[in-house]
This record gives sequence, C-alpha cells and structure tokens, in this order.
Amino acid sequence: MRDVFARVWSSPTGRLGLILVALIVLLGAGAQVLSPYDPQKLDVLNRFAAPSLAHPMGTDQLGRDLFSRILHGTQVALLVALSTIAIALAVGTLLGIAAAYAPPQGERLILVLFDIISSFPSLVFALAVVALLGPGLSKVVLIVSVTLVPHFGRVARAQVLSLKNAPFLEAERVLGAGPVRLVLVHILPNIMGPLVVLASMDIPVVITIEAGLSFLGVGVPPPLPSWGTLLNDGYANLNQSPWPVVSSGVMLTLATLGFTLFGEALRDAIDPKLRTTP
Amino acid sequence: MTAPPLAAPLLDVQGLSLSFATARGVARVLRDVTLAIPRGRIVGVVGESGSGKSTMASAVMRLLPPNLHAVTGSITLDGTDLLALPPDAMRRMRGRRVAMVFQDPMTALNPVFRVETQMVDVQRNAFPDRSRRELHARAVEMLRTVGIPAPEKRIRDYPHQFSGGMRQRIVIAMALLCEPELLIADEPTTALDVTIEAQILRLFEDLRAGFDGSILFISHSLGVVSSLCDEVVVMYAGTVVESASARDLFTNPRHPYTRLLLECEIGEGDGRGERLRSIPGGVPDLFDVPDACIFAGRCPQAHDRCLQGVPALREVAPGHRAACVLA
Amino acid sequence: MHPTLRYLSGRLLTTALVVVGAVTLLFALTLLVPGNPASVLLGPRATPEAVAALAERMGLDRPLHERLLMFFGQVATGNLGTDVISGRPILTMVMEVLPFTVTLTIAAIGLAVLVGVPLGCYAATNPGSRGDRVAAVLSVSFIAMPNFVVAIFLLLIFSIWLDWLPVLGAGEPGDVLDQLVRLILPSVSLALGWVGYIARLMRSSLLEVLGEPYIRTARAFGIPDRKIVYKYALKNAAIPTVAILGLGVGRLLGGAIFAEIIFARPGIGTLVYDAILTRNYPVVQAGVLVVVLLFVLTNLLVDLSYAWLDPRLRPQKGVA
Repeated sequence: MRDVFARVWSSPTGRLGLILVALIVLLGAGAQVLSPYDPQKLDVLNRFAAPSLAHPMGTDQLGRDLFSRILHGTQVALLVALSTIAIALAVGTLLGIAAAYAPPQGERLILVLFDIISSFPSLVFALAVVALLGPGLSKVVLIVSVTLVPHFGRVARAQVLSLKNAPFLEAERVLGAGPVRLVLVHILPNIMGPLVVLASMDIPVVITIEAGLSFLGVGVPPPLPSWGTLLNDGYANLNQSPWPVVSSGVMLTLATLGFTLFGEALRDAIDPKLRTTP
Repeated sequence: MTAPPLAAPLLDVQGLSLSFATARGVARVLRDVTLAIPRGRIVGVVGESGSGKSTMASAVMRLLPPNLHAVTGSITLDGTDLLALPPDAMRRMRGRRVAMVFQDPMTALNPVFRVETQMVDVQRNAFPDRSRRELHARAVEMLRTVGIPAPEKRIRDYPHQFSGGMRQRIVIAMALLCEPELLIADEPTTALDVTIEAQILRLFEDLRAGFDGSILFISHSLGVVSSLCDEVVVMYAGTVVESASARDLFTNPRHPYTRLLLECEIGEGDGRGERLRSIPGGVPDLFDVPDACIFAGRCPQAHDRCLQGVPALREVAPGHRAACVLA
Repeated sequence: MHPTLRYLSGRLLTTALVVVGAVTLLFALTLLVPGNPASVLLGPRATPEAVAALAERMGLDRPLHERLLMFFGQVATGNLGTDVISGRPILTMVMEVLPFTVTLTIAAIGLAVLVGVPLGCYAATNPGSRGDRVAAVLSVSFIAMPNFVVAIFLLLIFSIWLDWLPVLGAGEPGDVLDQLVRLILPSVSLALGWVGYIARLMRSSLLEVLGEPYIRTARAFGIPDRKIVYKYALKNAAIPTVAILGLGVGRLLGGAIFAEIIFARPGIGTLVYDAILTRNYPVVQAGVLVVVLLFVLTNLLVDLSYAWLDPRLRPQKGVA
C-alpha cells in the first residue's frame, strides 16, 4: 500500500493527480463548512456579479454565490461517482466471478448480456432511461452503474479464469474449502488490484456522465447544485456573464484531469498490463 | 592449406570493443575483436549464445540497440570506415553494399505487406533508377533462383502464407537482389527444423556459384559451418579465441575451447542443439570482466599463466591464429 | 468451416443477438414509464377518451408478448410510428436529421485522426524528447476535458469574445462553405478528446511495432526511416487504433448530442433532447434505437476492416 502510494507520488503526473484529487475531495467533504453562503440563497439585485472578495467566483443569474454552489456541486459529483462505482464494482465482480464458474451456457449468457449493455453508448443509454423514467439522483447512480457493470465483469472474469486452476487454489479445494470460502478468501483478494485500478479510472467517466446528464436537465434535479446544472445555467446566460461557465467548466475539468492522472498513475503502479484500454 | 589472400580484405574489423548500458551496469559485450573477410570468401563465425557473434554482425550493419554505451576500434568495408560514416551515408550502405539475413524468418518479414512490395522496396536503395516493373521482374526471377515454386503467382502472397523455410528463402532472395559485396547471415537456420536447415544450407552452397560477394555466416554449430565456409572464426564471451581456414580448424584446433566444441558436436552427432551443456561451468560475467583469459574458469587445461592478463590473438601457424598461452 | 468464416459468422450472430437484446431492452424500458404512456404524452388536460384512443392506437391494450412482437415488426420494417405532436412519421423525422449527425461524427473522427495520428507518430519517433512530453500532457488534458465543456468554451471564445465565426446552426442549405464553417467548432469540440486518445494509442503501438524484427529487416536494407515509420510500421500500428475508433463512434454519437444542443444544430441529439423535454417517448425510443444500430453497425464494420489491415485474418487458400 505504502509502496503503491510512493510509486504514484514518484511520477510528476501522478503527483499532480494526487494533489488535485486530494484538493477536490477536501473541498467536497468540507462543502458545508467552507461555503461562504447558502448555495440556494438568492440575491437578485446582485446577479451576474464578476468575481470579487465577497464572491470569489461571482454570482449566477439569480445572484447565488457561485463558489458555494460549486463546492456543493463537488460534493454531489463525488457522491454520485463513488456510489456508482461501488455498485458497478460489486455487481460486476459478482457477475464476472459467476461467469468464470458457470457452465458454458451460463457464461455465454452473461457475456452476451455484457455485450448488449456495452452496445449502448453509456450516455445515450442513461439519457434514454432518465428520459423515460424521469430525473433523479438515485436513478442516475443506478443507470450509470449498470452501464459500467460489463467493464468490471469482463476484467473480473478474465482474472478469475487466469487464477482458477492455480496450484494454491487446487490445494485449498483438496483440503475441503467450499466455493464461497474459495471466492471470498482466496480469489477476491487476488483479483482486487486490477479492479481497483479500473474503478479509479472510471471515476472521471462517471463524473463526466453525471455532469452531462445534469447539463441536459435530466441528471441531478434542482435545487441540488451540480457542475452540470451550473454549466447549463451559465450556457443559457452566456451573453450576460461568462463566469458561471468558466468557474464550473474549469472545476469540472480539474476534477476529471485529477482523477484521470491519478487513475493512470495507480494503474502504472499496480498493473501496467491494463494499459491497453483507454 | 589455403594461402592467405594478398589483396586487402573486403571487411576488416580491427580491435572492436563494444559495451551496453543495462540496469545491472555496463556489459562489455565485445572486447578487442579482430577479424577479416577476404573478397569472394565465406567466413563462418561460431560461438554459443552470448558470445557476441550477433552483436558483431549488428555492429557491421550499425544496427545496434539504443542502450549502446561505447564503441572503439574500426570496421572497414572496402576502405570505408563504417563506424565513422554519417547516419544517412551508413543507411545507403545497407542493402546495396552489405545485406543481412536474420535468424527467425517467421518475424523477419512484415506481416501486413505482400512479399512483392517488400521485395521491390528493398531494391530501391541499390537500384534507385530502375522502374518498378524491372524490380518486380528481378524479384520474381530471384524467387525462382532460391527455389520458390510458381514465383510469379506466389509473389502476390503475404508472408504468413509461406512456411518458415520458404520465408527464409524469401529473405535470402531479398538480400541477393541487392547484389551486396558482403552478405551477413545471422544464424539463418537456427529457427528451422533439421530437414529445412539442410535445404537452406544447400541453397547457400548452390548460391556460391552465382554470387561473387563475400559471406559472413554466423552459426552456433561448427558442423554447419564446416561444409560451407572457407574460414572459421570461433568466438567466446565477446572475444575471438581462434581463427583459421576451415580445414585447419577441424584437423588441428589450437584453442581448448574449440577442441571442446568439436568434441561435443562429434559426441552429439546431429550437429545441433545445446551442445555446450557438456562443458562444465557457466558463461562468464560480462559486467565484471577479469584481466585474464576469459575461458580460464571453464578450461580443463587452465593454470597460473592463464590468469596473468588477456592472452593476445597471435599467429600460431600460417593463417592460423589462437588466443591461448598454450597454443 | 474455415476459421475466418467461422469467426465472421460468429461475429454476425453476436451482432444480431446484441441488436435483438437492445431492441428488447428499449421495449422493456417503456414498460417502466410511470403512468399510462398515452396520458403522459397527451398531458394532464387530455380527456379520458383521447387517452384511450391513443392507447389503442399505440397497442397498449394488447398482451405483452404481442406488443413486443409488434415492436420488433415495427423496427424491422422501419415503421416507427407517427409522432403524436407533429403527426409526421417518426422515421421521416429521424432520417431528416440523421445526415447532420453523421456528418458531424465523421468530421470529428476525421479531425481526430488527422491530428492524433501525426502527433502520436511524432511522439513515438522522438520518445523522451521535450515534444513527446508536451504531446503526452496535451493528450491527457484533451482526454480529461468533457466535450461539452470544450464546446461551451469554444462558443464563449470564438463567438462571444472574438466574434469570429458564425457558429450556431448547421448553415444555409446549399451553401457548402457556410455549412463547413459552422461544422468547425462542433467537430473540434467532439474531436479533441479523441485526438488525445489516438495520439497516445498511436504512440504506444508504434513504439511497439518499431521494435519488431521486421522493422529491423527494413532498416537492414537501408529503407529510409521516414518510409519505415509511415509505410511499414504505420499499417501495423493502425490495427489497435482502428479498434478504438470502433468504440469511439459510440461515444462520439453520445457527445454529438451536446455539440448539437450547444451549437443549436439539427441532428439526432437535438431531436432526442427536444423529445425528452416534451416527454415524447416514441421519438426518444426511435432516436436511441438509431444511435444504437449505428453503433453496432460501425463496430461490425471495424471488425471487418481488420481483415483489410491484417491479411493474416483473411480467408486463405492454404499455406505453402
């Protein structure tokens, strides 16, 4: 663990990624404490204000403090990303292990299911579902995690297959270890490395999808601030003030950049073989 | 006994030393290598893997890996010092003046281009003025010469549609098409099975008649080299230990290493395989080369004198050199 | 059966399965719509009679398996129904805007290849150089930047601050130059991330190929470096890049939605977006279906194009 951290830190891009991630997690976690204003507080007389000491990032079309809204948006983005990845990781890993141990027909069924899910471009899929079922935070989380399940499932299956006939597992089986015990105690710890790497590399993907859906008005419902809704508000009022768009766009980019750099450094540190997929 | 040729040799390698930078340190892969290839002759270079014979060939082509640490000495081809040439001039030497056939024919050809494309492109350097049609016709003829049936049809095929032996014939044809003065064959039969190996060796013997350049034939087998070559150079751990005419070397080997090589091959009979298993001891450490005979650690006849400095390669009989204090 | 044919038939079968699965999934989604789809479509002020009539026209009163079969029949014949709002066939509406989306996607891919491939080649032929490192930083930044952020920033810079280009809309019909000018910013916004992907992928696969023995053969025959890189190595290195482009089309189609909305261009994206806002779910369904079909089709094409790039995968007459 300490070793992995040291290797991430030793590459300049990994270090930048780690710093950005730490900063964003800090800002998100401390949103309530760090925000100078209530993110919903209107101040219509002071709309479209440029950045100043009172409002470090200016105000939006209703005079709300952008800095406070962005901090809360950070929190929303992180919550969505983490819960989405957690669900996809759990379900995908389970399905992957199941596929590796299932009889051939069962395995093929799971793989075709993965193929079908991945045949929907994830954003289009999410868009279709949210459009039909109506917006909502939990729906976004659920749908995006479904689109990511094949990602984890395929890697988990490949990992298990490469491990399945390893001598040490054979020995455990002979000694009478049950399948559940085998999976929990012996297989899971051995396949976690690549899955964690994949999870960290999917964080910027989820953040982007959440922001995208919210930008289209079908993601995180108002009044909850999201980077996507902030961008959309700013886009609608681009002629009035560039600040909402600039602040939320830059923040979103810093977050995806940070998580991307961090994820790649983590990959290089844990499992460079995963490098082939972008 | 063949008299040493009076004319200057085509290829003259003098005191070539070469080292690579690796994670473990600097590996002195070649040390003071001297050899000459007379015009029109076939010279065999023999040694086990790690003896530096392929590196020496790469040095002649100047196709050395990027971790090259230092080179000293000279490689002269027909009066031109190859090591001193600017890169682009060296590039123009390749193919036209000196061509190379590689060890593994399965990977030597580009899988996604037709044999025709590759055979035409390699001639461009040697014959920049000839038309594509002309180069194509030469390629077909050369394929016929090296024994590819129906060459006018097969030339449109891709490399994977040929067997290993056929691919090696194609690579040899590519090299011959350029009419080089020197052809380097770097273990051209090692990756092939025994019957195919014999066919390729016969091809080389047949080609002698029509090819008036010199051939540097690298092999790890004295048996392979014996029938084909005029002269033989034996390398061990980055140095030349013995060089002589093929007949001299086989009838009267002077270096203990050569003698062991010969004994092992006769013992094994088929002239292939890892014949050095029966020589006790391992390949010496090239990261920390002692100031002594490099073979002393494995030599059955080693004594105190062998540890006092590196023995020079000296003439022990006319045209016969050995680097051993006992020779 | 020949291995290549077996591979192809297997691939076609999977594609067919995926299409059937995707259509079923789309159908299943409509079942999850809260409330009666007909009343959702007609709005809260619709009379019960109107809702019932629409429900009947949509076949909502039939049993589930019949509706599924009907849906498949509609998809197969291209009869995607009539739009209740405009009264026009949905297929016509989709086909009208499809060329805009396809043009935008192709322009973006073209741009990404045109910039990304040379960038990757440069980086691979000068590994470790300052230019290589700059290219690496640029690539990862391009990849990390969400395309809608790029689109909005481009709009802000070029249309509002600099006031250079007419950027909104797809341009006057018939005025090709105007259409091309208006294509620039949307396709740049879509392509930027892919420039990064392609450059990185090209770099790593080219570096790998340049270490192959057949490249050494080419060098040993004095073939000029430029020709080795751009003829002999590039075709080998292109194979993984083409694979990624296949995946890329799907993401590009998703991204096209943003570019279309932000630059107010007609297209599948705007069609679906407007349909979402009006809860016009048959149109959403049709739009998504077309995107998915396009995606599956390109992936199939990409798989087949391997055989063009890599002769080892072609059906062959036998080995000598």
